[in-house]
Amino acid sequence: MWDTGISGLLGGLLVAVEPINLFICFIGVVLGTLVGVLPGVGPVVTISLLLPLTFGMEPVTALIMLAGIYYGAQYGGSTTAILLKLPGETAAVLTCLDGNQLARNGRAGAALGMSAISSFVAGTIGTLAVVFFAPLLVSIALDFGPAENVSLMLLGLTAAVMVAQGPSLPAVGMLVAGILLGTIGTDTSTGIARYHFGIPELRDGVNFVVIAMGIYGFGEIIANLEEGLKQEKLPTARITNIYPTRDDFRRSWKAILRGSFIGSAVGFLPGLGTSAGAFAAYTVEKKVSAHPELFGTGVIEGVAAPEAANNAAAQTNFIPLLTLGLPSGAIMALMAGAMMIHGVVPGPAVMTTRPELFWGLIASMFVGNLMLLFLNLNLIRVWVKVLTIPYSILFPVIMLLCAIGIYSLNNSTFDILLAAFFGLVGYIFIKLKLEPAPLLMGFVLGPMLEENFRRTMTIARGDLTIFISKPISAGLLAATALTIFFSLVLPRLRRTRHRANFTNPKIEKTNA
Amino acid sequence: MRKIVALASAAIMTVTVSCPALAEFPEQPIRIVVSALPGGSPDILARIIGQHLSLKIGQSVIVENKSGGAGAIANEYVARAKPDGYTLLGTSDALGINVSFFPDQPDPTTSFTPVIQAMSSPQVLAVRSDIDVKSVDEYVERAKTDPGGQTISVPGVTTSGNLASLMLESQTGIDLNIAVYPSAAPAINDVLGQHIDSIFVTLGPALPQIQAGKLRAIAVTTPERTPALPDVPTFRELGLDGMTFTSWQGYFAPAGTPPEVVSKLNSAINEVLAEPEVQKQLLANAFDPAGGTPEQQGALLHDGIGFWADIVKKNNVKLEN
Repeated sequence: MWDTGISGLLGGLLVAVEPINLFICFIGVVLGTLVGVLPGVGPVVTISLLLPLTFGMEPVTALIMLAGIYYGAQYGGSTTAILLKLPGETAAVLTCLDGNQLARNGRAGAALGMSAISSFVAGTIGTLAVVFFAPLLVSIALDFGPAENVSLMLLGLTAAVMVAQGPSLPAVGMLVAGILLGTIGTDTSTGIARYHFGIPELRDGVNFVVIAMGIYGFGEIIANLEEGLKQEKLPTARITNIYPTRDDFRRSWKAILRGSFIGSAVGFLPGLGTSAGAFAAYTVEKKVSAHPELFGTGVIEGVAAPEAANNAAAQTNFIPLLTLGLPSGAIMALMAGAMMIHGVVPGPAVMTTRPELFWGLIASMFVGNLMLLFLNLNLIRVWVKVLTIPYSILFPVIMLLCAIGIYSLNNSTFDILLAAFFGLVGYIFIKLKLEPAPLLMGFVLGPMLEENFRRTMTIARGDLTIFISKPISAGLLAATALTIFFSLVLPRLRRTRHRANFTNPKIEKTNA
Repeated sequence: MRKIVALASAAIMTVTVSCPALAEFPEQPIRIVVSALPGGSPDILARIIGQHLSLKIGQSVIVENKSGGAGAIANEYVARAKPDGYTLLGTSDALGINVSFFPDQPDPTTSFTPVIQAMSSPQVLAVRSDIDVKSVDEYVERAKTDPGGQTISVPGVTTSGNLASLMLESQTGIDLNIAVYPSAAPAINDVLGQHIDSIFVTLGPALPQIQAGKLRAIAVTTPERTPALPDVPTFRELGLDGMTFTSWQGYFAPAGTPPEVVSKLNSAINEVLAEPEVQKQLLANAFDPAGGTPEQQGALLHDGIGFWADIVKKNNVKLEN
């Protein structure tokens, strides 16, 4: 495993540093960063738009560019989450929690810088995982059948409740609301469309971006407009420092490593991908932290961990496609399509029949991540300038960009109307002081949980013991039970321990 | 930020500006609307054909993805488009199958005029290679030892894979345990992971796994054996004649498109399909290049509607309660 890894990687590096490939890789990561920053315009749309441009290229060059767009977008996605509280994808919801609070405390630069650095470290670790553990990871991925998925999602949903503010009733309520929203659309097991009210667009359910843009983006803007544009500029406009401090690194390096590990470990699981990794990393960080009550008020670890997990997962996400030819989600399906258009049939044979393509692509990820680090660190100055634009100009621009992004998902104006509706919902949430993160997690995981549960019951012919007779599933259920136990018991112990000696002067200000 | 807005609005304007139709077809870009996300099988086919077609006709061919509503969104979009040949629907045998499932959708035989059949493909029955089943007979035998225990994955309720599994049950008197997946990739994934015993799916996505020895193909649905798997028998050879059908993809124009435009498109795509380069690309994706007249494509759709309606009725498959 190690030998093939190293020799393959060296061969791949020779391909990746060919001038044309270096250049195209750069174009890819720049485009990726840009579309990541544009709210709602995701890598799926960009890759599908640019696919025809790659027809004339060598297959490996084309894949290097498309992959660069994908992981570049993971870097860029955190920018709007931090600056404007606009998560463009599931994983960025976590970055929003502390990243945007940091920005409100005048530390937007530190949050952006930490996000870029932790993304780089994690991207590199994730790529190393692809190089050395792909065969091992893919065999684990195959061990995850319907039953294992159910247990994993139960763990994820439990963690989602913890993300907000411990296991509170509103968090559970938001989670359930998310699960209910997730039931809209065609049920896989029976083919029956639910809650579509005769609207064809709803037969496929609601897109995640529509809900996220509506609840976070539009909702936030409505709430800000209510203030009557009293402030000329965003609260995030006060910048104290551009780069993370030494203290930030001291607090974050463990979080980055833990996040990278968690992201690498879940990124290759089909369907879950990057979002579950970010949620898990954030929850773990909160659990091991000495001051969990500060999470959500702007702690730098709260940015480092999910960003690391998200980017590590973005790399290991390639494993099922590269080793089995089976895409693990929409973006990987697009990459598979790109390979097929270029005459490379994705499958178990790619690694041996097209080693230059396999290793060239992987080696380009190291190169691309390095480019992204420099690019994003330098862009911080540009992004913080954006914040100095007055409200009256910035908000209409954001609204327009969001609307374009939402439309681009499915070329559907209906989606924009739906996002407007969720904007009202988001405004109500802000008024009621409800954290939407559990809702989005329930929305993503709920339908997957249902689908896998019903599939498990079909396969097991209704025998519930399948969940404990399969070792991986049993282990995950045990972990879920432990999470519930610790989150009910530990916080009480902690609260008594910390109440006396830990205060943060910024908390009151940020909640204002 | 302002620059981005300016660029974005410029891009939108470029898209919406269109020229009036002129005498000599084609005078403007042709759009192929597919009900699939980029990277889906109809999208890949349309892009390969579109790329070569644009060289032939001297106009760009744009693939537009309008997925959703079990094809309804793309279908209604093209049905309502101007019948001038500049908007085509890239669709598949699902167009005929869906008549049985979605009676409220427009009737495909009156909403569209056929242009050409582009490809054909078998559906394949395959078992995972660690199970000692080498033929359909052995498959049926194994299922009979444990009624309702032998699992099979299919990529959706309304897919021909699911309907073919039901046909196999009724024609051989076995009881299978059918697990429904949203698409082919996860359905294959769980067979490779040994959670499921077998699969009924379009050949394309399964072929790499069959070639790698991870899945064992035991029969195909086409009337003749498929060039990609010359050693795998057809259901017809095995005496299961009722299991004989071919999956296809083809192109349709809105009803009322002038016959001379249809015939121009038909002959241009026929020429594209005959190019060795295109044939190579299609075969690599397990698409058998088809071609032929618009009438042949129309007959294929018409026959499919009756064939599937019969199976859906016999097996009592319903989407609403």
